Amino acid sequence: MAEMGVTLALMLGLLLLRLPVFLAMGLAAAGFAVIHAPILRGDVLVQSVMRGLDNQAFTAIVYFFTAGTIMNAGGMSRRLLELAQALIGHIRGGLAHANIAASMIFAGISGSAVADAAAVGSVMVPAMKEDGYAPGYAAAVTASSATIGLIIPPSIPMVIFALFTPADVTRLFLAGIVPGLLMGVFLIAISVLVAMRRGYPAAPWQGWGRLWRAFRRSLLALLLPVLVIAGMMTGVATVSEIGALAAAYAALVSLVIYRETTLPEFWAALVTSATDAARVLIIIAASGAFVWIAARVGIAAELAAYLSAVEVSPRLLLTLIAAGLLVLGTVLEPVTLLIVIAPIVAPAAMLAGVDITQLGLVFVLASTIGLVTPPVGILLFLTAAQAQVSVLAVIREAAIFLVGLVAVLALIVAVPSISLGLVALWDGP
Amino acid sequence: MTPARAPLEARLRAGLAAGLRIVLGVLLIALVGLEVVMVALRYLFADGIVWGRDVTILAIATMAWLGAALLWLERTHLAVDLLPARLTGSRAWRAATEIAGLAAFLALIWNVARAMEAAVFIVLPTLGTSAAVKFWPLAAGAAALIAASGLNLWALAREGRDG
Repeated sequence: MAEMGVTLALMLGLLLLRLPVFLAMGLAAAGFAVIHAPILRGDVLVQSVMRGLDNQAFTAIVYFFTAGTIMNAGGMSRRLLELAQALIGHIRGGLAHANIAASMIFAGISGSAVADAAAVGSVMVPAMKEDGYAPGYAAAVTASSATIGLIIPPSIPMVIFALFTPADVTRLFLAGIVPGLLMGVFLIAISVLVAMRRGYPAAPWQGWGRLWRAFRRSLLALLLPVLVIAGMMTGVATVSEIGALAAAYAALVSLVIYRETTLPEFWAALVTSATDAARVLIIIAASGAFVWIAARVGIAAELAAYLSAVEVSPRLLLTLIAAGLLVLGTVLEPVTLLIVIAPIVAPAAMLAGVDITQLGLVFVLASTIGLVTPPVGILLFLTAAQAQVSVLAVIREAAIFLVGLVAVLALIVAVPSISLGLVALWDGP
Repeated sequence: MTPARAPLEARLRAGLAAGLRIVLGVLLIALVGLEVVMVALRYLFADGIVWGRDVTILAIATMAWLGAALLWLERTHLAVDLLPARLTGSRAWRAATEIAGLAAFLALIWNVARAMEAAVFIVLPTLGTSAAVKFWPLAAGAAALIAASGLNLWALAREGRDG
């Protein structure tokens, strides 16, 4: 346990020095190898890094990135925004609500919070600023609602969690639907209160005809999440096969049906997807060495033995895990948290009686909230740049939305049926 | 008047980035295509591709390692930004990161070669070739990472010379 602690501490130290995550992991693992030389040789470590990606299911990450990026490049985000505006743009502060609603719809396509914020924010933030909203507020709404992208399926962090733990990805996807919608409802409720207090404008009701037209124009995009969920529930294909079919579907819709993207733009979207996926995959590869070390040290078994000795209730344990992840999430990316912490904590939590699907959802949501918390919340920086405002202004405006997101997390911990209700329905009596 | 030619380092950097982008794009198209074909074969002909799984894993590993080299070249890897940008953006800091990376990538390629030697007599039945092939993505990635790090150091040196 102490050896693993030292290795983790070394990794954290290197991360704080702003070394890329994959290099910090690799160097920390190499440090462990140096301590244990000649028993642990460098080529053995290399083999564990090679095994880090030795699973066909990792392709699902690439495919879901691709589907979202292609859809976005193909004019999808504009259509979804039109739909969101036609739906709730007429309520006071309508552009902020439409921003959140668009994120909820986009969440069903992209599976990535950064892609969501980039797509929705590039259109909505300038529009909100033009309509008199505070730039920091426009950025904060975009940043906090983009987190829904990682909860409503398809979700890349859920795929990662399922690959590193015994969780089932179909169950995780199903478990994410209600909490994702709940996040949207909470954020819209907060946005309504802020709009009433600040007197933000309301757009005129555009009529049922306009709503129907917007719905029809975005129908093919809206079908994507339905096809993904249906495909997984019926078991017609594996998660990676469904991801590939989703990417092919996105390419077909963008290039052949919508025809709003040129071939060079399409190629650029493909390269962006591949590099975005590589950014995550290289960390997974480097984590292979970490997983190997953790297995060698037997840290998961030690943690499980400790937890069974102190007899912690599942709910208290889940609360502690959520709180710990919220703290760690302020400095670490969700991907790093999921890859390093989940394989260690999940077996022990399951032995303590925590449902693995509920744990997965808590893991994903708690680490996702870190994307909108200072000092390193990437969504804060991205949307601040979109709104051309200081990060501090975004942090100030995002605080109230953060309360809403943490409230949803607390509800998921306290009321298991919020996340597990649909899973239970699917399982049947 | 003809426009001034870009320095050799900048041309090499652009060439490496363009090459890596082409490989990544082609790999992605091949991956999606192979997966769709495998699904179609299963449902239409109740058949499969024996080497499909191994090739997919090789392709995704290649994508990860060559993508890592492109991200290193562009300095856009995931990292924790806790320290002030004035410090981490300084030339000395960037040079230290590059040197640490270069040392790590050289050690990686050395150990990959040793791991390949150890695996050379193991045969992969589906591909009918040596298991050393599984380390090719790491070897290619490490080589590309060394090239990217070398170019970044070259750029830093030029930056210092030009003031």
